[in-house]
Amino acid sequence: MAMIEVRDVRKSYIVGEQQIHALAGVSLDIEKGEYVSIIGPSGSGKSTMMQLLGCLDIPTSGTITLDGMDVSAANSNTLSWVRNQKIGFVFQSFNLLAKLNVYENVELPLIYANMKARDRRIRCLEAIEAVGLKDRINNKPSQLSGGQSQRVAIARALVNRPKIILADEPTGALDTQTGETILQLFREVSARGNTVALVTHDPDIAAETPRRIELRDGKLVSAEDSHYHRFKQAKSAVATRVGDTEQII
Amino acid sequence: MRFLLGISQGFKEIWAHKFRSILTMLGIILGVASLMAMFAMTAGIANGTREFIVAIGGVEKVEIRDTEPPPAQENIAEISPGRTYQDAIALRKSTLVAAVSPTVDLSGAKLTRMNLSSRPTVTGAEWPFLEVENHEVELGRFITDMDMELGNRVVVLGRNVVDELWTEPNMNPVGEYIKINGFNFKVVGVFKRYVRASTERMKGRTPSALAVAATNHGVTPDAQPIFRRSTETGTGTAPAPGAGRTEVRPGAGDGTPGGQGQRRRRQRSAEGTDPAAGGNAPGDAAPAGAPADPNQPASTRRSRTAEGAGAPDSTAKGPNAGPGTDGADGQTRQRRRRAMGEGGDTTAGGAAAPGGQSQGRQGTGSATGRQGAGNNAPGAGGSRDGTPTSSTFTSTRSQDPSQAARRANRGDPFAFKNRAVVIPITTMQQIFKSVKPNATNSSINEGADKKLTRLTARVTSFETFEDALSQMRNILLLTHRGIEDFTFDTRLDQFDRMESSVAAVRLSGGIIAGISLLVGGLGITNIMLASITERVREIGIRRAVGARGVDIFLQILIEGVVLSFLGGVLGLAAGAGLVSFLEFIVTMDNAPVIEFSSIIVSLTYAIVVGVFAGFYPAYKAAQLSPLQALRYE
Repeated sequence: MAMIEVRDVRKSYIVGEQQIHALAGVSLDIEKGEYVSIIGPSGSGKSTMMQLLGCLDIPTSGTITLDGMDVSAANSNTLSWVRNQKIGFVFQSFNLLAKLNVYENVELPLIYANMKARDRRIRCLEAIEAVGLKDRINNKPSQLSGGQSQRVAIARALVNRPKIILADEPTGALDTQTGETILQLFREVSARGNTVALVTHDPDIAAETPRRIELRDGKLVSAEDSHYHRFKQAKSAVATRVGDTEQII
Repeated sequence: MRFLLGISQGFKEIWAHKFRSILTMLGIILGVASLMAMFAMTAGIANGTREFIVAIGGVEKVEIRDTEPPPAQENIAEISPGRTYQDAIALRKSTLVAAVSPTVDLSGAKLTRMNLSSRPTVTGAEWPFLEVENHEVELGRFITDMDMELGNRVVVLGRNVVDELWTEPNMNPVGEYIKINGFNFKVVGVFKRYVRASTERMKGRTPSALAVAATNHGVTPDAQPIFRRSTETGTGTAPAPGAGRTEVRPGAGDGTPGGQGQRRRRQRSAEGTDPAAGGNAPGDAAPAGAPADPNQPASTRRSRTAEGAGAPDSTAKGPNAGPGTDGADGQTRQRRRRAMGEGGDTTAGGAAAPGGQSQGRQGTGSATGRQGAGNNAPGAGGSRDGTPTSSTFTSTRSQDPSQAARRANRGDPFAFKNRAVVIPITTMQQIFKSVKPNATNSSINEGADKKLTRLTARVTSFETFEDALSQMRNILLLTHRGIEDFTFDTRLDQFDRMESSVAAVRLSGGIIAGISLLVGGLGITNIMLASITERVREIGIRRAVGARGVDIFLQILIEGVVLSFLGGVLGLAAGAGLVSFLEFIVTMDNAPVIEFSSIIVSLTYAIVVGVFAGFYPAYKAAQLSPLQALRYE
């Protein structure tokens, strides 16, 4: 069974008197350990998809099964539990708590998981070390650069060892180089067996992932291994030989 | 576990917004402080009340009073002998009665020793008097059965009287002789000096002008100890080598431009009644003899306090009214006239004076004086300046002892106890029974009959109080030949009344303080609502990483409680400060007392208010959808 199973999910909002179908019947599977990107232009429903996968919201109809658990009709407390135990979020705007330092920010999910203080400490340090911020442990988010902040957010997403990592435009607020290091982190995370879903509108970033799911107007356009991805890989192979990537494209 | 984290979170949140938190807490701080101060005040009043009840003999004390017989018996009322010593003998047979004290009073008696004199009420009593009236003998002994039988001319004196007849402080006069209306009496004992426990506690502190002023404003009915103490401290520091012995004759000085010193003296004498009043104004005694001018500020302050005594409480007019009864005394009259003439500060008292109704009221402590100083001053060879007389501001007993008793119930009991002069009741009856000191003293003026001035009993135990009363009634019906011309005056009603009034004060004060605390709570609610609006995104993030609604709810609630708890603790500190300030202002008799229970109650109430204050914001925060909270900008 797939880690994420989405079956004919619809989500509609009522804005004013108009009903807007953010998702109009999407079905897809994401296997355990997969590294996928969800791509589409704005208004395509990719953010809604991400919110539904992240249990921040429930679909109007259809079912979503995460790790064998149907979350499409779960109550608020169950959703909280799923978010805490199975999902790690990484946001474009980092969403760190400004009043807490790096350690406390990373610790947050563990507190809500009711973990003992000693275990929390071990896990936290582990996660912070994994993102390479051990020397910044007592800093407040305001004292960190964007890339560092995002790494803290990743540490927070990883600390409770969730099976699914959801990242919403994780490089959107970063420069290309920093974004690259963040993407590198995601690759490592995925290599460790986590399922990583990366929401983006940037084809270049989507090209990083072995598979991309493309949405348009609330519908699935393709959920296949991207040709573009394959092309890009070939391209880099050529580029290393030719030495001028830009010209070839 | 998570609860503790929540608490530390709450403290962090408060720390992050220190100023805002302090402002928010201010309502709680003030609420708790006022609640505590109110509790402390009522506790002080309750303590004072209880002390007072005990001082006048406790609740077990029953006074048998004369009353009109019922209408049906009016025509045969003559056959009753009234309250006599026989009643006392009969009552003693009851096992429900622990002690019976019959007394015969002689008021307006003149005690003299050398050139010093005093006019207290002389009481003829026997030894149960000690137990019934809660008296304690400090030096020497009390009257014995032997004295009773032999009709010995022995006397036990109250401390104030000793102070008046011997100028040395803390004199031991046992073995010496004094004259009572010309008869020689040997002093065999001296009663202890009665002071309030609270006064004892406050000893060593000098009274502030505030304290004096507040006293005169009639905050509490008994202000005497303050004055007495101030006299003591005053004389202690200023036995005034030069001025101390200066003869200041109030009489002679009166009418002449005596200056500040004399005006002050007059006010003093209005407040208290003492032969030596002229000189005994506490702090200013010494300077009074000296050129008057330097004291002007002090004296104006005094007169203002005197005015204060007059204004707020009609009973305070008593002292100034005092001279009126002795209006025959030219000097007094002169003084009164001067009092009326001299500005508004004393006119209140002066105006009241002609009424001569001073006996009626002894409500405020300062208002104990009845017999103006002018009355006694001429009798004394000369009052001495700086005499360590603590009785300067204590009362003389009224000529009607029952009224004195009534007054004693209302005013400071210690003034009346400290002026006790006790001789054997048999001696009293033998020597003075036919003496007619003045016309108002009817009870012992009827020749040879042995009517008692007072008949007081103490029941064995409070449990059998009702039984004892009915038994006493039966006994007295026998001795009174069936005429019910007596009534029982117990402290119970008084006690109940006082308790219920304290409870009422406590309740109303509590409600007011509670409302202010509630307002503080509303402040917390308001700020927390603003705070959660500010922190919607934080709530969203917390929800995203797995916080349940209830986690958010608890977090906000705990924050509110921590806020109010901190406010409560600060409020306790502020309350303690407020109480010590009140202690400073209010008379020491009813000095506010912080009880442990009041701390608990205030803090608990603050926390409860915090829970209620935090509830709505917490609920609102918990209801936020995680998605919207996360998207909130």
